[in-house]
Order: sequence, then C-alpha cells, then structure tokens
Amino acid sequence: MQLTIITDLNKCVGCKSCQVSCKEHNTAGTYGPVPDLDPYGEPDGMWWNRIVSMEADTYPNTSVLYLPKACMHCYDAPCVPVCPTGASFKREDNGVVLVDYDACIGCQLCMWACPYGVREFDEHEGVVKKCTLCIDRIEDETLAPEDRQPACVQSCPTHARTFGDLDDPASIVSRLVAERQGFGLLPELGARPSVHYLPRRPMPGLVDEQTVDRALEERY
Amino acid sequence: MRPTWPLLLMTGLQGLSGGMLVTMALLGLTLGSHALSLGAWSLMSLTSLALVGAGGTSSIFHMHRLAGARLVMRRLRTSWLSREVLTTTLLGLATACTALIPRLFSPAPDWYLPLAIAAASLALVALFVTAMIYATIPAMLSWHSPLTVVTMMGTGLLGGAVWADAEWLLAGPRSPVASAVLAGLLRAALILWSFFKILQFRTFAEARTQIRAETGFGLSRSPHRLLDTGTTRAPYRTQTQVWPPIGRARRHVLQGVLAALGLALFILVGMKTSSALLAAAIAVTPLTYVERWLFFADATHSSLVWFPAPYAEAVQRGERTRA
Repeated sequence: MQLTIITDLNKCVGCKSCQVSCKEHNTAGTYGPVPDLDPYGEPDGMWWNRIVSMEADTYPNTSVLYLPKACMHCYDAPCVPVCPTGASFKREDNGVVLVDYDACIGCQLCMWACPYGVREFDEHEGVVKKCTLCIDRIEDETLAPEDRQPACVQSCPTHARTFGDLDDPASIVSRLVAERQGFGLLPELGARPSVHYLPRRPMPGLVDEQTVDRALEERY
Repeated sequence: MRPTWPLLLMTGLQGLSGGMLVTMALLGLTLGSHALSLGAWSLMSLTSLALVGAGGTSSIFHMHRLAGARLVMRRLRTSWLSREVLTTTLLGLATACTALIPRLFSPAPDWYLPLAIAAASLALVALFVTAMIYATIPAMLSWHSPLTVVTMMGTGLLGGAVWADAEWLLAGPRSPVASAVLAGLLRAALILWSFFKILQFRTFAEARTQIRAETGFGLSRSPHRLLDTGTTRAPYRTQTQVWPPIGRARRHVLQGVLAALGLALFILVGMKTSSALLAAAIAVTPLTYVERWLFFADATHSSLVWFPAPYAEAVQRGERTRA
C-alpha cells in the first residue's frame, strides 16, 4: 500500500486553503505540532504544505500555475537511508514517510537529501519536521470514514486533491494517474515520488477579433 | 547552502589529522621507523590527536538534540553519517594510541610502525566515509560526483602532509635528500589537487544550470517566473539548503584567494627552511578552510527551483516582497 495525494493542476485555483488547513490541523493536532513563533499575529514559521505560484511563457500566451508542494512520500525516499538514528522512516504498511522526534538529533542531513525541500527544521525543539499525510486523522477510527483523509484534501474547495492508495490499481488515484498522465516532480533525481500531479490541459488557441466577427456573422 | 561552523571545523580538522597520520605512516614505511626521531613521531602524533579531538568535539555541536545521540550508529547499513561516527571514533582511538606509545616506551617498540600504518589506513577510511556523506546525495547537484570524494580526501591529505613536513623539520635536522624528495612530492600533490579542484569548480558551475523548471513544475513552456513560494516569509526562518547561493563576484574573489594560497604553498614547500615550512603549514590551513567554505556555500540544491536566488536573497534581507 502506498497512500498518496493526487493534485489536479487544472482545478487548483491557488486559494491556499490546503496550506492553511494543514497549518491549522497540525498546530492544533497531537502528532506533530507545527511551531509558530507568533500564532496570533502574522502567519509565520513552519509550513508543511506550500502553494507555489508560477507564471509561464510570454504574453499573450502566459499562464499561471499553482503547485501545492508538501512531502512526496517517495517510494525510494532519499531522506530515510541517510538518517543516522533511524528517526526518518517509511511505514511498510501504508508507505507514509514519518519522523520520530524522539530519535531525531537535528543534524538536518535529511533536509539536504530531500530533493523537494519540504522538510523544515524546528529550531525550538531541535528536530526536523514534515508533512505526516495527517497520519493521526487517517488512522483515527473514531472519525467517520469520509473524514479519514488529510486536512488539505478535505478542505480543498475545488476537489483538486484526491487521496488514496497508489498501489491499488482499482483506486481512484491510480486511475487518475494512469488515465491523465499524472507526473511526479523532479523524476531525474530518482526518488520516485508517490505524490503526483495531473498536467494542465493545453490552452485554447488565441482568437483574434476578425475571427470572432466572422464567426458571429456566420452564425447570425 | 549555509556553511555551519561545526561541519567546517569537523571536516577540516579530521582531514588535517588524517593527512598527518598517512604522511607519518608513509615516511615510516619508506624510510624506516628509525629515520624519524622519537620527538618527530611524538610531535606529529600529538598534533594529529589534538586535531581529531577538536574535530570530533565540534561535531557534537552539529547535533541540535543530544537526547537522540545514543542512536547515531543505528543505521550503519544505510547511513554514511552513522558510519562516519563509527570510523571517526575509531580514528580517535587509533590516533590516541599512536600519540601515547612514544611517550610510554622509549625507544618505540617494534610494533609501533604497524600500529601507525593501521591508524593511517583507518584515517583513509574515515576521510572516505566523510566524503561519501556529501557525494551520495543526488539532490545536492554540486556534490553528487566522485570529485567530491577526490577533492575532500585530497585537501585533507595535502594539508596533513604539509603540517607533518613542517613538524618533522621543527623536531630536528633531517637529510637534504629527504627534504628535496618531500618537497617534490608535495608540489606534485598540490598540482594534482589543483587540477581536481578546477574540475570540481566546473561541476559546481554546471550544477547551477541543472535546475529544471520543466521537471520541477511540470511546465514545458518557458520562461518561468516564480510569483510566490508559498508564504510571504522565509521557510521557517531559513533552511540551510535554500540559503542564497553566493554571488559571482564573491565566488571569483574566493577562488582567487584559493589560487594565491596554493601558489604561496607551492613556493614555500620548496624552500626547505624551518621558517618557510612553518609558513607553509600556516598557509595550508586557510587554504583548507576557504576550500571547505566554498564547498558548502557554493553548492546548489535541487529545491532551489522553487526558491530561486533573487527570491531567497530578498527573504534573507527580511523583505516580504515577491520575486
């Protein structure tokens, strides 16, 4: 089993509700509180999920892309073997990559090893922290089954994010990746990320004013 | 990359110590253990012990949570850092033995040279293991190369050899032939080291161009402009791997300093006087640290694709503006 999140880049509008809900849940949660230097002031500090905004191409063909970026829960997670204490580990039963804060020495080698820069160092506790795929939610049997999913998935207003088992060929996430050419980031570095993105559909060609007028004349 | 002082001290001092041990063993093997006076053996081995001790101590400050330190050798099968803890500890013990024996026995026992050779072999292993920590990280685009191992070991061995050369002469007179041969070997080693350093600078330059927006964003069309990295502030203060890369001017100045130190070293090791060799030992120390500082500060991490340099620099200045 490899639990993962698939993000449809056509649906993501960059509202950052996943980023905020991650912060909210993990700050209030019990598994791995996200530190915040000034929790009642301007949001600052550690973010396990960041929405990167990017503009591509040149006018008039520009497009903006929003890329939610958190731990990729890689199949060959490079952060795991480099850890000297075994604090970074990958769960065999569900593929989630986690950090045991009691064993972490804060050497930050895993932060260098992670190609995605999604591990962050908590200077107060002296340990490295990262997205847990809301392991406390997905394994909480007191929650209703539909609530047993990461906070970022549940809060997405456009349903751009889908949670499921990538190793199950019948799962929604596997089908989405297979049918819509889902891709992982930085494949050349060999980490085999389980988190995938569904590519943007090509933009329709630009229509000039004369073509519009002609079409209108033909129609009416 | 942000260079941290415990890593700079640890890697630099371990290299110098290992280089001294290897030079001692090579001198003993080629000239015989009695070619070096007991004072020379003693001075070299004590310096080596002080260096590895200081390096080992500084590595403790690299840990930010000592409570987990008891587990640092738990991943010997996969983690080069775990292996480094083991090999550096063993190196410290072996160096302590080589330092103490000339003080306990006079003359040194017959098994002293085999012990020094064993310590030198261990030093080579420890230097290799330390270099492999950096060379085996694919995300560190600048370091993921065999050149990392070659230059890191080379810097340590060269520095240690220059120190050993100076201390040998300080401990007493030696034959002019030995001085000439040693000077020639050091000069040849310096030329070889410079060659590999130039190759490594090219690797670092290539790494700066290897960050691909196409694979980092899934966008094939260029140019790409980063609008927002996810928050208005730095990633939890400032992570080491997205620390702003040093600018071109600073890089060239430091490379120039390295070249000047290398040239000074080339001249000094050939002068064969104790003051010149002492100056060479002094010169090789900043050379080691400029080299090591550049190694860390100029390295490129793959995640910089999401934190490009201009943005990261603005973040460092405390600005909350967009890139």
